[in-house]
Amino acid sequence: MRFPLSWIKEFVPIEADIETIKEKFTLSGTEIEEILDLDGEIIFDFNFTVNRPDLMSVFGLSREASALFSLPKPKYEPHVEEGEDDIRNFVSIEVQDEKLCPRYMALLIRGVKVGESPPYIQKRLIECGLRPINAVVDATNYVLLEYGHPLHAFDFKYLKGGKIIVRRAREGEIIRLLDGSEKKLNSENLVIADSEKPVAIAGVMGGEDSSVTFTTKDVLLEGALFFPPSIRRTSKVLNIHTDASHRFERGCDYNGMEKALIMAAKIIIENCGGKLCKGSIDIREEIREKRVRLRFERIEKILGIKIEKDIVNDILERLHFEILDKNNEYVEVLVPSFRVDVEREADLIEEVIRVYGLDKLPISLPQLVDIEGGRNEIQKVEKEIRHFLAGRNLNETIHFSTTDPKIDILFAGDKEEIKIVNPLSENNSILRRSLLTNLLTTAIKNSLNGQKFFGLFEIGNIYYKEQNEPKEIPKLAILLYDEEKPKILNQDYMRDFYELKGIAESLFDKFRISYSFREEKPELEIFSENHYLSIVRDGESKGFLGYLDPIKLKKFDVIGKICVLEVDLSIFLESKPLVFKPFSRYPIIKRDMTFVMDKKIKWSDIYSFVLELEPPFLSKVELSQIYYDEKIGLEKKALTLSLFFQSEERTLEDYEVNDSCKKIIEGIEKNFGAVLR
Amino acid sequence: MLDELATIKEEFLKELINSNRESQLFELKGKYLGKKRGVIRDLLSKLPAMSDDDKKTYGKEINQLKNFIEKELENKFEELKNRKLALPEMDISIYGRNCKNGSLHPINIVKEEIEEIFISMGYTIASGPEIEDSYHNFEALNTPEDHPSRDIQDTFYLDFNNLLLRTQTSPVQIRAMERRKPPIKLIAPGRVFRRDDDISHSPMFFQVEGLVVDENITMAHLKGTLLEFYKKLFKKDISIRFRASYFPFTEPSAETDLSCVICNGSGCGVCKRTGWLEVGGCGMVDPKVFEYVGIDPEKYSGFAFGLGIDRIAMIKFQIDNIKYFLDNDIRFLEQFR
Repeated sequence: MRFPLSWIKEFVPIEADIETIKEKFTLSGTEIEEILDLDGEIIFDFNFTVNRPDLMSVFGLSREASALFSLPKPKYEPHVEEGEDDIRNFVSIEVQDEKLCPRYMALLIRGVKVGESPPYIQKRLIECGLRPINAVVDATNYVLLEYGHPLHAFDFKYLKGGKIIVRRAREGEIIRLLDGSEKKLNSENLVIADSEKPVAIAGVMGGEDSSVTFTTKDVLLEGALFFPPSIRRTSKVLNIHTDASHRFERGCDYNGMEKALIMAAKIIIENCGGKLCKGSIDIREEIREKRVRLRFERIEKILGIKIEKDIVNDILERLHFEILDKNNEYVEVLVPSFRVDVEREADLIEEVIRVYGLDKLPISLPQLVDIEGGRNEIQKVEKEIRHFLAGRNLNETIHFSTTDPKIDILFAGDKEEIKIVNPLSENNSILRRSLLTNLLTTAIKNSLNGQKFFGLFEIGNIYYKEQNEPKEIPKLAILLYDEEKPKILNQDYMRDFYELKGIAESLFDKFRISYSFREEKPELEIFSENHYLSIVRDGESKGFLGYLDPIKLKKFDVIGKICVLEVDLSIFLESKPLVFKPFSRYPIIKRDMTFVMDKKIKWSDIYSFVLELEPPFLSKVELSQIYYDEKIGLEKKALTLSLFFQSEERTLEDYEVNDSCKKIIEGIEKNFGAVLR
Repeated sequence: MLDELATIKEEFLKELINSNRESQLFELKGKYLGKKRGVIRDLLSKLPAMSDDDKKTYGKEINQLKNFIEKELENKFEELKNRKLALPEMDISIYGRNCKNGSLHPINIVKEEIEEIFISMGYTIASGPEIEDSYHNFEALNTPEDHPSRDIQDTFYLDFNNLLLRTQTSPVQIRAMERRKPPIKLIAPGRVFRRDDDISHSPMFFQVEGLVVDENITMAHLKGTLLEFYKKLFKKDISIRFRASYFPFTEPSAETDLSCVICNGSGCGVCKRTGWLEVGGCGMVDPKVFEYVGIDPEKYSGFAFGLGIDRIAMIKFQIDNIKYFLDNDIRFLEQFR
């Protein structure tokens, strides 16, 4: 909000230079964002906090400046001659809802001749960002800027029955506003009505029909106070934000309209002639004065700085708090009616320190004992996994929690979606039910940017509804993308299924958890049927890994192969304890054997078969080679096993393992229809 | 005779140089030192026919030659052995094998640094739900509906149970205070959501909330804590400035400004020539908030602060656009190794 410095200086003799003024206001809570120089006129652009509507005027700023710079307090004492005719003979006012309108005042000026405002008024309105309309409307706006209380001027002729009724709108009532728009109202909205219809939306905007124009003869000036939440709701629902609603929704001075009305009347009569009727109409709900006590010891307890009592009292007085009582323990003040934000001791402590200077706060550290800091288990796991995966040449990503329902459905399974009522776009209209949704989109985007070989991961929550309760489940997801392996010496990443499975295995090993992979048909259609493993812990599936089906990816224009993993982060909790196992110091006997067998026979079947034979001294079985060749047969493969034998107690002799090897060979040949080579 | 010996030595050396295999060396050894028909043997066989003086002179010379040949052969054998052991020639300027690092997201790099600093100061890392109810996100933080301070927190609402996406990490304060009694000393990092998408705003961003509650916690402690924290974070001797402000859940409230870590306060593009960087709000926990969670504001006091991880990451890594963070372009990500 913009105000010229020269206008402020009319009320308070501030002599500090511009930079000092800027700093003082800014540090005490009212930021001066910008200083403009319009043909030598210095204009400050203020950024007000929502709790200080009292500052949003020249006079309010002068009041604050007088406190900040210890200057004489500004005065606002307008005076205007009253005529003979009593306002009551012409106007009657009824307030039907005192809660929404605690005070309503009106003046009546008769016999005006409306023209344009004199140049000095027009200039100031423009400097503050308002548009001059006519001398009457401009007068109310001028007073708004100068004194901060919103007023409204009606063309009295159009108030049917000479009557003002402040009431809730009737359901479906329609009003045509000053800006030409038409609004349909409901009983939530407070209106100013004449005997027939609404003539203004209270505190928000006046109606077009009753607005003051160049033909207006008699002007009814309204100065009121409205219940802030009601103004805010109405302005939000109807989507009208005005200078008046901006102030009313923050809270105005209960007494502010008195002087504002007189000043406006004075300016109107000066510029348009006319006569002010005798008296005013003032309908008010009495409000309680706010008395607040500030205990001096609380200042030190909250701020950590001791401020002399005299200084405290002086600051409060400079800020227009009237001291009602003071002693060694406390000071009790009367809160001025314009300070709608001050109600409690805590508020006064803030007033004291912001004027005294936050820069004077000492610096110290709290001494707290009996507190155990740090991360919890899941936070530790998360951190370790992130570093582990970054060490495996994967790039960590962070995605929006929201996502595109059309893609999310591919990974959602039977999880019930959570919709956003007011999304910014359809692409982000639900919460992700899988981390893979956004990872896939990112992979596609990067591939279009020329990235053809990469690995990404994310740790974060997925969200869904379960029995009408929200679920937030932390997950880990990895995506490998393989379109074209770069031919680079010494860089042998694969970005394929086995790499992903290897990463998973090494992660699970690192956290020492018992898990297994289970070959399954994927529940989700997007996965390739025969390239999918479920990750199982304690008999329960906690995640999966596998290839996405390249055929189903065609519609995304993806060329590369995409392999993904998603697993509950909780699978990494509860590691087995790390316990040292003594190792044998005796030599190992290693035997390799190569079989030719059907291509479809699974390694895992051979492996468990060998283990189930329980050959004595067998310590390890490894797969050292798989070989395909036309010479062996198209449907065949050659598979080389390495068997390791070792005793815990002595050196083994060859003959001791020959028997076992013979049994294994015979077993494999018989069971799998294999032939030893 | 002496000439003959010199010729033999010369010839041997010539042959030795050309012998690069062990087998050749053995041949050479046989040729010169062979017990039956070696060159040395032949020379020695001529001695008995010589005069005593000559015997003495040439006998000594021949022996010297023999020793010389033995020594040279031995050296050559050793040399061949070493040659076998020696490492092959390599271009050691080629990069190492599989040594490429992946990367951590810059937001998480900064988040973790922040966590480590606060953990070293005895703080607990707390967390709370991202799907929140209005009570914890607003009301208990003294922000009733129809309060103008909700303007800057345009909220994403969800389609059931009046739930929303939290607009700040502050509700974690409330949940922590509901759960346990003071002393409380925590930070709560996490994602937050606001319905706002323009050049400098992202609908999702990252905050850290801090809360300390105990008897006799003061605003001086708040200032000291933040100063200590920012010094550690930027590894610089910076100064800190409190600017009075307003937040519904703190009283007094302040904005925290740091002396610009880029220009040290002399004014640059990052601090918009002011010398100060605005990094977050803070203040003393409002007594109303204490009332909501059932903590006696007469007995206890506390401070709270918030800061934006995105903002810090942008300053720290000199990233000029907030949109990079959630774009996940590999050309961006891979720089944070």
